Amino acid sequence: MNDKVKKLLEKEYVILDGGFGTELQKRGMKPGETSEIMNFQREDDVYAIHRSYIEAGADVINANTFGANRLKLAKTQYSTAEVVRKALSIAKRAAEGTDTLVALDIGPTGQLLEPAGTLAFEDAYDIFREIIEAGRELADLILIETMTDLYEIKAALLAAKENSDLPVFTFMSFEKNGRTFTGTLPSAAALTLTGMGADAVGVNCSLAPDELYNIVAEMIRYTDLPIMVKANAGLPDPATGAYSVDAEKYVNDCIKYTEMGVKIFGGCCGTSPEYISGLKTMLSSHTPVVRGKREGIASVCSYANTVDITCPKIIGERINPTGKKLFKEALKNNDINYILNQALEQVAAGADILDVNVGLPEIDEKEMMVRVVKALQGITDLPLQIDSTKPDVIEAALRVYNGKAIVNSVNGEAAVMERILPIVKKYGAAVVGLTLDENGIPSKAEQRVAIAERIMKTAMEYGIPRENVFIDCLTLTVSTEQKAVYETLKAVRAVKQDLGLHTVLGVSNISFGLPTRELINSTFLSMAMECGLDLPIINPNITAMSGAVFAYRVLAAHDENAAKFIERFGGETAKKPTVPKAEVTLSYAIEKGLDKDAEMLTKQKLEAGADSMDIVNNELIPALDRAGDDFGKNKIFLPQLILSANAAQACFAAIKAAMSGENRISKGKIVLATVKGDIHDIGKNIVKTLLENYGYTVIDLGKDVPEQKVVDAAIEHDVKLVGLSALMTTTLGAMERTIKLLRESGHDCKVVVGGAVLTQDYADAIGADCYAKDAKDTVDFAKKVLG
Amino acid sequence: MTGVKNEALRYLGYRGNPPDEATAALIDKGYNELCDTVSPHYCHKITAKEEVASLLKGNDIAKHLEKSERVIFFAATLGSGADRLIRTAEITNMAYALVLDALASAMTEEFCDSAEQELKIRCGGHFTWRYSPGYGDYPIELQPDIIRFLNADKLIGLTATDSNILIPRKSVTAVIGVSEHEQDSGVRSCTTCNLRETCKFRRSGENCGN
Repeated sequence: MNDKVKKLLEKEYVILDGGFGTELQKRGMKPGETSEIMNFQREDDVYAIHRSYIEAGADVINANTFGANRLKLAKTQYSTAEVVRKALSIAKRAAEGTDTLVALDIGPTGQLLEPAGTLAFEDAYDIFREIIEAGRELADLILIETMTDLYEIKAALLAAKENSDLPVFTFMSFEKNGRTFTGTLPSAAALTLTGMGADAVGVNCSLAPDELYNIVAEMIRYTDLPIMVKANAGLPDPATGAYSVDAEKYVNDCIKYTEMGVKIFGGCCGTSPEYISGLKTMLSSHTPVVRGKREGIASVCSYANTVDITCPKIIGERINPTGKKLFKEALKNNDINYILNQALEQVAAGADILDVNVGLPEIDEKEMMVRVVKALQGITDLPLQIDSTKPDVIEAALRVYNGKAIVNSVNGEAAVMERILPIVKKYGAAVVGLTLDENGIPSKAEQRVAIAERIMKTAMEYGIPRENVFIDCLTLTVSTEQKAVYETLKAVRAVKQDLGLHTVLGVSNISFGLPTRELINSTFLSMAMECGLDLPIINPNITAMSGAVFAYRVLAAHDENAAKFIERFGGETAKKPTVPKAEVTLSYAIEKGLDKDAEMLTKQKLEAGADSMDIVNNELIPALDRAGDDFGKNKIFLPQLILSANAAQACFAAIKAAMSGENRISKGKIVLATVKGDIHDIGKNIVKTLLENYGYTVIDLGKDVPEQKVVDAAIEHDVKLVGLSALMTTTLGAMERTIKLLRESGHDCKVVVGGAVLTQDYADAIGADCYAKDAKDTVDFAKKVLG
Repeated sequence: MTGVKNEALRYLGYRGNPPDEATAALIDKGYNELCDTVSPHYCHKITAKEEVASLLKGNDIAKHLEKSERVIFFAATLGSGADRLIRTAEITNMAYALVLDALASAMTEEFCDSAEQELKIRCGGHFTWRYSPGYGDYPIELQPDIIRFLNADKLIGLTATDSNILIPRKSVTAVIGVSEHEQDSGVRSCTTCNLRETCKFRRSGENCGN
């Protein structure tokens, strides 16, 4: 932090400026006009607004750079650098001869990041980098505000930290429901931004001061950084544009924040210099309340889910290829959906955190880790534990992770800690420390505790708070080292009680080589929790395991009135796999979309020695065909057709599980993509489901796919059929270009196209080989091309 | 079945046929889950027509607003929760995803209808129907400008991609003409619709209006 800002933060209170856009509009700017252009067109007005805030008592003014990013400036004649430098120079001129500091103000890009939108995290980072590089020589600090997506503010903060030495103040905007538009929680914002090295955190825009108390209180509970409040003057009137909260009320409603320990005040939309001078007067007569230090509660989070480790929490271990044939195969085939299914199954089973390990010698672990982390956070809000030993893989994962993750793991070896702890610190993660070192795993508990202490001290030297260090005292196999079990438990107890650290333990190893492993596992798990285990790493899909944790939370009085336990197990009667009725055949089950029955019947047939190809050719495909025919004749409708496909999928999954990895059934490969610019991919996904269940291998390139990528995939996988979809008139051009490029490449393949705006004529005109009006049509064409 | 559920069935191509048991169950489940997930918001601005000429390009919108003195710009969204729910269902159960998608579209329309009722009370006058970018020759390229004009990114979290697709996906921007005098509220007609050649409703002898 530079001296100017350090001095600033030594003051009792810091006062920021107020609304800028609304002030410009008062001076004649029209709604919808780009306010950053006013730095050139209304320089005197911009200067005058800055002066008015300085005279009202602002310690910091924001340069008029809020929307000065390349996306928002695209339609103007100005570059980011031009706007940023011009705006900062006006603000600097206005602040000349005063103590007022000038902030480089950064707002959202205006586009939503993946997975909700289409902007890649890396591109958002680059947009912010450009702004920061343009402004870093002129500004005293960086102020990032009005962010509603934790992922986007993370990109901005990372860009600020990596491309300047300036202090960074970070604000997010929340709704009345206590979340941002994208679902970000105040706690998650506070945890993540604090960990990433922000210098102050707070709320701005969207609501009036009296609507933000609970949100600010939640932030305060999760950080020791200075807290900032910069609210709106209520809401604008849709006809007149006037705001609903006047200066007097605004200032009065802010008094409560002084009592909560808020240090930094300002205003956002609709506030004016009058509000700022009102704040100055009010603050001069209110002594600041000094906040207590945050107690050492460990918390991890995704953007939308904060997990406080105040009682045992389940880390699901299933995203890991070790010893799992199908998982390995999925990794080799880039089958992300398989991995996502593993995640969702664990979510449903009650996991609190998911361990993510995608290490396999044959694949690029770093690339896969980034893909998997991005895909996982699109479908679950459970916090993730990044499980790898490679620093570059860990860093790549933490970079794109939207929240505060756990890193699994370091150990007592100095070289390992030196490689990984700086990364943990930089991204504000928590870290698992294994109690082993270059000499192996010590046999005695005391020695393991000593390693734990060494890890803790080293981590703290790197600036990692002690509550972010979790210790794994290591489970050994009871069948080979029976006495070692008690050493592990003793160590867990000591680490928890004497060092005051949270504990992690992989549980399943304990029972290796014994029968009814679940019994050993769940008994050991209960013993370990009683000794102070906080984070068991288990397979939550096994009820005996997750159930032991749920039961422990009841017995140890964490689960008040056993509410969570009853919610989970209350409806439970002894669950047995239901045996399908005799009249239900596999064909019937598929036709009627009975996925459980289809799976069970397939297993029975396989166990009875049926040939898997016979099942596919004589039962599965004819049943799907019949469903398809009924669909064509309007006897059944799309959801039913897809339910049949789901049942076929269950049948396929049972067959695949019984087969060795090399002997996969495939009737041929097909590349599918929703074309560049288009993100309506539900139709494409329906086609994919159906194709897969006819036995084709689908290489799904996803949505918004660049033309060249389709060509590259077609050539790389040597496919004979490419399917393209588009839903908008405006993206048909991209479809045409993709086909043209495919033809030019000389790769011999057929192209089938589909989507709401397509017609046979248009398909012919752009050189497609087939127009498919629905998923069934695509399957028929695939049969023609591939057999 | 509520209006939303019936409308969703129409989107799913049932043409008045009752749903089978499995689909009906998915619709009930999806409806409940969406109700717990969506966070509907809308915003609007009402101004004189001349003041927003730059946002009213094309012949069709001019005709639509022919008799209106004032215009309402309107934006509504179900929020990103619905998108997320559908995305997750696409991994585990495509049939459910399909049903959720149809339900969410129907909910968006219903929410727009109820918002429009509120606006009628608030603004008075006679309304035309909601005319959206991409319809007729009203350019979809105006989406970002409309969002900026309404401040809809700040007010309701609405954004547009480079190819002018609204995000969150279950969102609408629209223009409503307001007149002091009776005006033809206009039945949405297939003759000006861009999708008339391929529309699945038209193929089966229906239309998408009510």
